[in-house]
Amino acid sequence: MSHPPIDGHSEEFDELAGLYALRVLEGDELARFEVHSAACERCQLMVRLDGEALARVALVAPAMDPSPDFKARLMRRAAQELAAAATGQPAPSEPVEEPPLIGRPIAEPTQLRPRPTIVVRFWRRSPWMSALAAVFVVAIVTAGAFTYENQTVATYELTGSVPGSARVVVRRSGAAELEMSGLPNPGPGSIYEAWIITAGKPVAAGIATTGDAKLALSGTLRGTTVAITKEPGVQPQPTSAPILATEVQS
Amino acid sequence: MTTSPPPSPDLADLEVLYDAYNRQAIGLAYRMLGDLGDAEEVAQEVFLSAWRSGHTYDPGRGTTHTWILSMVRNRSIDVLRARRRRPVQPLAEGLDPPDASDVPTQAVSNVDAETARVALNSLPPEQKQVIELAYFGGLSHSEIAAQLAAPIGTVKGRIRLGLDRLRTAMGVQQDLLSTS
Repeated sequence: MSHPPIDGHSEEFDELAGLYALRVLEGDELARFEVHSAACERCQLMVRLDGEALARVALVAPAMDPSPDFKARLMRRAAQELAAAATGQPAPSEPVEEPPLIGRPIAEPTQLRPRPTIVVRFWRRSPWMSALAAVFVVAIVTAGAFTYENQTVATYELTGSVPGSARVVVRRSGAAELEMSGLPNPGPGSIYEAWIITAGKPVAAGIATTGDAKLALSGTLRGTTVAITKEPGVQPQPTSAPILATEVQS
Repeated sequence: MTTSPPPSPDLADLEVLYDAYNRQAIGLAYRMLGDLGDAEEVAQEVFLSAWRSGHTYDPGRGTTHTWILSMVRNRSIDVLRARRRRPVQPLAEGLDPPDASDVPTQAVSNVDAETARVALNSLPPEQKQVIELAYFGGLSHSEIAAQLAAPIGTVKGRIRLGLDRLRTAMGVQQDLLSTS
């Protein structure tokens, strides 16, 4: 099967097709590409194939457990929608999303399998029970909120050639800490300085005067490198190579 | 515009859908947003949207999985853009669930996280970097160029080359393009 480009097709449109498949095209280029691709089979195909590949990139993100009450909240909201529909009240309505036509990477025909369950009857039969369940869940969530927010969701061990250990600990709240343990003391006149390095640009993230310390890290860490250098006092930029470092992915 | 929900959606369908895909959906949203609260909000809307449209879990097919993750990404990008308060390419343009007739067979099979990971890691670092910034960060090519202090044309070229390599590494039909 042939997918010919139209007259006026150029390598530029090949590039724009990729950006369109990524859904990051903007402004005049977006408008121009949409006009062009509406008639260009090659561009349509390229967007579709790029979209297929990109759909699989989603799988690279590490799977992660939601908070303990997340499923209950989801099911409660769905039950409320069903109850509202059953009583004729307006149910919350959300548009069903669909990718742009030529970038559409995936699909499946709609079909519902009949699957009667006790859960459905429970929610449908008794709105009061739904309300009680909601109160119960809210109570649990409130009671456990503080503990939950401080749960560790990820740790990243810094690696290097010095004794001791250091790791970045990321909490569910998004807060993060750099924990240093057992590193040799930096010595008179010297300190350990932590850095958050984004796209090669280090930003000072705190100092420690001993080898056992805990530093709060602020800002977004995802995609950065957290590193420790040994410095002759507080420095705005590192003056030596990191002795420990790790990449933070989440 | 909104679609009417299909008749008699079943909570059990939502539960099965959730049990099958929740960890991957949360993981993707969290990777993009860096905040579990936002990630769960996105995932909740996606699962409800899929449920309303009548999608059910079918272990023999990969389309629902991929579609759900696609919606997670789109909605996560909406959140990222709202944070930046700047509209870019609209993401939620349609209302109906996708039509299987628009999807090649390859998209519904062999969805393999390890394959995807290997493919992405096989890219030259500069190509992997720009694709990750665009895919997971929702950054436009101009934003990526600014962040990397690189010319826009260079970023565009790296993305194009990276996508070409990704398609090859993932076994997406290259021959269709070569016959153009």
